[in-house]
Amino acid sequence: MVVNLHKLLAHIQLALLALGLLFSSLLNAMPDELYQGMIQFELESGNHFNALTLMDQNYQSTNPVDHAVALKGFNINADVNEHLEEIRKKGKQKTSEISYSDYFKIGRLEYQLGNCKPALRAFKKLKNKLAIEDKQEWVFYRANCFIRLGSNSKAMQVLNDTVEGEWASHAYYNLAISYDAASRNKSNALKSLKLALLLNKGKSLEEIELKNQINFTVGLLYLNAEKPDLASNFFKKVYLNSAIAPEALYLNGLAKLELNDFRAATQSWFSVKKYPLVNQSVAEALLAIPYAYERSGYIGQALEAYLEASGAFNSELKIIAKIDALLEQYGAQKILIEDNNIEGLEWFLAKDVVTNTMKATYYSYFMQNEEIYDAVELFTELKMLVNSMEFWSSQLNVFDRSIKEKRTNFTNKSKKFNSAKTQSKIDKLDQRLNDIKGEKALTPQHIARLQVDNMQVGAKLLMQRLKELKIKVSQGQGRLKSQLKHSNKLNKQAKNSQKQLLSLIKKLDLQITAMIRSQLAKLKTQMLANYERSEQGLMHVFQDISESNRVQKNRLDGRYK
Amino acid sequence: MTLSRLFPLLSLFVIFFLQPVISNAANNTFIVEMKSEAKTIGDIRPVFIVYKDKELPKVSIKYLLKKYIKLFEQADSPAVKIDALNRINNLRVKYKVTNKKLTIDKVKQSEVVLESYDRIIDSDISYQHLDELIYQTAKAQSFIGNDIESIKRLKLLVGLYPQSELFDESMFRMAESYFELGQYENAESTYKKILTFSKEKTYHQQSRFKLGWSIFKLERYGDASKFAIETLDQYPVLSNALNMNVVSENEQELVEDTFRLLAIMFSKQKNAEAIESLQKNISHNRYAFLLYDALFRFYLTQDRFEDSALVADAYTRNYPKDFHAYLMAINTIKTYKKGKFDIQEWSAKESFVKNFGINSPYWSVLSEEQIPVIKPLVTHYLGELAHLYYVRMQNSLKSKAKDITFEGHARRAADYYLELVSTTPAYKENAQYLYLAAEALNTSSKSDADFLNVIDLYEQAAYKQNRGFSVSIDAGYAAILSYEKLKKQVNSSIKKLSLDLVSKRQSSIESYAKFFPDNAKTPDLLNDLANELYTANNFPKALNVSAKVVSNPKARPSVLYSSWLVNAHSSFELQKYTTAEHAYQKALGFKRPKDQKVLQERLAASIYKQAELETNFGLSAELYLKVVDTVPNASIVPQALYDASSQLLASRNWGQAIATLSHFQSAFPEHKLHDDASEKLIYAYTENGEFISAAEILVNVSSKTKDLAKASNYLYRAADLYHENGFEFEGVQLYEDFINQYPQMFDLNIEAHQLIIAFNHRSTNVKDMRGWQKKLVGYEKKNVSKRTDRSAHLASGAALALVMLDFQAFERYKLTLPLKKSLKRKKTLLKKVVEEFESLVDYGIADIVTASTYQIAQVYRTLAQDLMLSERPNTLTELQLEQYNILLEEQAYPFEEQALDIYKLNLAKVPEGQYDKWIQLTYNVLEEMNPTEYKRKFKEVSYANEVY
Repeated sequence: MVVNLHKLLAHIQLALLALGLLFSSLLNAMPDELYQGMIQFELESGNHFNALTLMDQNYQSTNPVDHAVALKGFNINADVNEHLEEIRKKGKQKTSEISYSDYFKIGRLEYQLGNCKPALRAFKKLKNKLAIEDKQEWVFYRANCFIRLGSNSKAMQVLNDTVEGEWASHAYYNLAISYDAASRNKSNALKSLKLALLLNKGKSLEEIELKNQINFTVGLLYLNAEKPDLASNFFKKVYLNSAIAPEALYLNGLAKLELNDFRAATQSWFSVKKYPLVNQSVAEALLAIPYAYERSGYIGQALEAYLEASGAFNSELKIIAKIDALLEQYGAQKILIEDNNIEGLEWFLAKDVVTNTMKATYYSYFMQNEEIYDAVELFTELKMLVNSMEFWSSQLNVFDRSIKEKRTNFTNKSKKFNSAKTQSKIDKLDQRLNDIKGEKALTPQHIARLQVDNMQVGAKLLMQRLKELKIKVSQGQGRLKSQLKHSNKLNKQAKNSQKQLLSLIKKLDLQITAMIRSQLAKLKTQMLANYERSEQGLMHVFQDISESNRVQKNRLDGRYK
Repeated sequence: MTLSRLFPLLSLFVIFFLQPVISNAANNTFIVEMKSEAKTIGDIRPVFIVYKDKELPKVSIKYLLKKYIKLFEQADSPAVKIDALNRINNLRVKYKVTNKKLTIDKVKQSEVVLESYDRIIDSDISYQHLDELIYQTAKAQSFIGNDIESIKRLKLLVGLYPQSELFDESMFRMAESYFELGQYENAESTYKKILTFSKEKTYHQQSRFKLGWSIFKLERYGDASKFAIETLDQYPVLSNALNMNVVSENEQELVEDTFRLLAIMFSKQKNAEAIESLQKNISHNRYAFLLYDALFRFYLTQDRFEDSALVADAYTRNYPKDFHAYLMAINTIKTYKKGKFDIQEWSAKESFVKNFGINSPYWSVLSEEQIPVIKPLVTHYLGELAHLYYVRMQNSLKSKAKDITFEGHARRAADYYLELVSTTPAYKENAQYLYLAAEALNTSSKSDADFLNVIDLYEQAAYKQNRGFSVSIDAGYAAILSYEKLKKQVNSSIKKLSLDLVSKRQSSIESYAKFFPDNAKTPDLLNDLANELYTANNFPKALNVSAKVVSNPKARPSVLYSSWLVNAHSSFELQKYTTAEHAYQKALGFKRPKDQKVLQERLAASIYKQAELETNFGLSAELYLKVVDTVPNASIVPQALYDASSQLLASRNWGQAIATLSHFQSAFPEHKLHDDASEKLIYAYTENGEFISAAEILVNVSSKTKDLAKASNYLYRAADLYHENGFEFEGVQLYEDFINQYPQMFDLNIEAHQLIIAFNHRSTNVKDMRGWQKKLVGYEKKNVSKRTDRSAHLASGAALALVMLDFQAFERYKLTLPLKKSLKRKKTLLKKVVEEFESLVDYGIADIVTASTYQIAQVYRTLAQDLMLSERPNTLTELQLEQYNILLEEQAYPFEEQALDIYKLNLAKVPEGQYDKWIQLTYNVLEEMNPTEYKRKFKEVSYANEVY
């Protein structure tokens, strides 16, 4: 089922616009820097939805790149391309005022959209213009672009500039994958992986995971190159909590099998059994264990292992059927995404001693699908938005009350407002700060430590605000009234939007449910295939027993024949 | 790995891995750090896996098939479905499972296969080997009969994947499909492409084969043959092979088909000629047999028997020296038989034996291993042919006018029989064959040589090839009878056989008897032979032969009698008297009055001869007596008795000898040996201890014997016998008679006298004794010229005894008063006694002399003693008496001195070597008379204790 996210997102965009309008007046009250800073923060944090809600029209037009980034981050790719097209046009103009950071963002954006050449063009402008931290990322994107364009050698050249860094490690890893795909000679791939490993300090979670991935890939390359001993050495370096640990354990087992070390292979596969069966490597391991027993000549145990595997797959199929039924009945939101009190779901929530809950297991499995992941992420954000909407609605109610209070107070207070007095205080403060600054006893470091400059700036701001306040006071009542009016209007709109959002969420839930069920169907197909393979293996063993022509095979360790 | 083995490892593990930890900890405080939780895959502690051999379930093929079928039906995965399907099909083929419930409908199979492969292709699963998929779908299409579609796919495969491993097979499948569709030209070109372009040669053979067929379908036989031969050339084992079993089972079908193709082509051409032509083209004939065989069987399958047989026969003609040509010849025969071509069948058999029989060039080059192969066949056909002609011969004989082919049939039958025998010299039926051959020839023989040949055959059948069958008996008899045909007239009207033939005939009869001892005719034949041999003075053989007859339980009485006679006579002639005796006994048992007398005499003679030859006296005697017992009326009986007695005597069988002699004497009183018998009797009696009986005989004979010497001897002996055996009185009587009747027998007389004296002495008949002593002395004196030591001894002894009487009388006479008178008397007596004693010296007997001397001395001493002891006058005074005594002493002393002197005369004899009792007595007396001189002890030299 192809989920029509675009339609959904279009709806969401309208909602966002509405929200933007809703909040714009409120946000207008915020200082620009703070405002921009907030937006940047949201963008840097990857909270593109928040960023989009924060961006007003003005910001969007003045910061088309940020806007495009936010849109991309929120997967509204169609609009992104339009934006980029305009940005490219602008960029070609001589009077273009696109900053280096914007070029960086453009380049990244182009890269994320798969437009490698425009990305490279954008990145080219940044040569020698970037800080070291940004340069690593810049090199990464450039190298990947070259990789995508099929020029591994150029990618290698690009990467040669980089000395260290997680980005470089990633880039080398990607280059290795590209080398591997391009040629039978894996030496370049291995070299790249080696570099990726060297550049990876393995401190952050991402670095650790990348390291795992690198080790895994090296192992896989060696395994494919029929060097199982070397492969095993690398598989062993993969962390057990890595997402690819099951695969690594399984392949490690294969490597041992290649070395005719059936016992070690079996032991490795036994370790894979701890992982959830939704992982195909676990299934492969379950099927490989009886094969190892068979190769070792322990046919009885092979039979048992096949029966165990068959039972496991059969059980998993039942679970899949159950989950599917639950999904059909209650939807993905209730079953997977949110907590629930549905009766009879204890089994789904029961924690396995070794692994996590069934729910968590399947949830992790589904999240591996990008589309589902994005949809769930969107769902989460929409849920957050709904919560936000509720919050803002309640805030608006509070605001209304406060406006009303304010209006009441304003009148009272405006009567009591003495701007001159305030001005005088500010002047005094400013003076004092100048005095402090002129104090000879203080060193510039002291002054800097005391943040005198900042305070002076603050004072200036106060002066500015006082000016504004004066205006506001003068305009106050009228404004308050209009604000109240506006607030009521916004409240209404918010309620409408909230309604729409809820409807969207419901639709999204349906879509997600459909997607998950589709994924589950694939899993079911896979599991069924595994089950059938286990049955097939069982039958093959039975056949061997029946025909009784089997020469006793290598007992355990085929190394010692 | 068991726990026991694991424990040391674990210990080591602890030591190696924990030891540093522990030791370090020991340096500080006692803290054992356990390993932290595994972080990486390499940190994982290997799971302890237990490996156990577990009992495996018993799984039947049926169960397997059911499970696979279930898997096939239920599985969704196409790969699993395909695998299950393949395994079902393989299992069914391998284990020949025909149960329809344990299979999957083929149409369904194909549908599933195609669907599965389509799914695979359509699925997202990336398949590395798409060529395989295309191939499989092509295969499936072909399977469901859609060859055209299959060809399309295969074309696609070979076009798109020329480097694929399935290229060759795909080309082949394509060609096969073209062939199935009848597009032979396409098939031809495709097969040729395979042969030319394929990398592997996997399909070359099959392609070559099918190429041949394709071209054949296009009716280009020459090219088709060429490819067919090339196909066969790939199997070097076919070279000179006889059948297609030389190739492996899975290749046989192809090879058979190839040959079938060739056979079809040959049949469309000129059969054997076509084969030869092909072989000429290919410049070898390695497949000759197989090609002919293929064509042969091809015709056979079409019931074209004659064509088939001609092909087989052609091989035999074209390859006469080939060892296996016989197989083709057999094929010819069998084919004709199957087609009921009788004449040709027989002709083929004749050809077979002619071409492959023992007299053929073919046979001469056979090896030791090959002969056992051919022989049974040749034998079989020879038997059949021989029998055929024999029957024909018999049928010809039965016809009133003899069929002119009769002789031919006979000859041919005989020839085949003989060849049969030659072929199988040790065969048990050879006797039959030879007999039949002989019979056949017998009917057609004309010359002696022919008959001899027939006889020889008969005899071979009877003896050389005798295996215990009755035919041999018949043959043997026939051989003997056949000699009749060889008889010729010889100086008379009687037909006879030449000596040589006689001998042969005899040998024939002997052989007959030897081989058929139990046959009823044997005794008769042997009897005739025995008589013939006897007549010809061939006694040993006659004996031998007759013995066989008589030992034959089947011999008739007349035959037995005859043979017994021969046996007896022959034995007698050969001095085998025991045998002769037995035989005569047997003959006598038949109680033929005419011959009884003679036989009895002969019997007696046989026994007598045995007795004569017997060295053991006892046995000899028995035998002699046996004559008497057995044939008491035989003339030889007396002699036998007498001889028996002699033998008995020789064997010291006294009793029996006595009996025999007695019987002899009583039975034949007038026999010339009667007297001799008496003597023997005496001897026998004597030896037997029947002395009295012997004496009686002696007396009797003595009285009857005119011979003086004998008579006297007999009498004396009789007297002795009586005397020595307790009948002394009777003996003495006879002695007396002897003395009276035969005084001239000096010695015996002396002895007789002595014996009588001794008798009387024992009987204390002193008077008679004295009388006879006197007679003895007187007789001896009278015949002093005949004196012998013995007579002198005895007479002197007697005389001495008589003298001693006088001496005793002398001694008894005591000197009384008047002394003078008595002394005078005594002296007179002394003188007489002395003279008598002295007269004894004349006898010259040493001890008589010494006795006389002693006695004379005794006389004087006695006188001296008597003087001293004489009566003294009682009127003498003491002094007078003393003087009287002195005077007496003086009177006595010379006598005593004289006695001494005389005693010394005896002593003087001792140095001469004489010493007897009288000398001893002399010593004794002298010891008394002169102890000083004569009473001495013997000095003995004591034995030395040591040996030096």
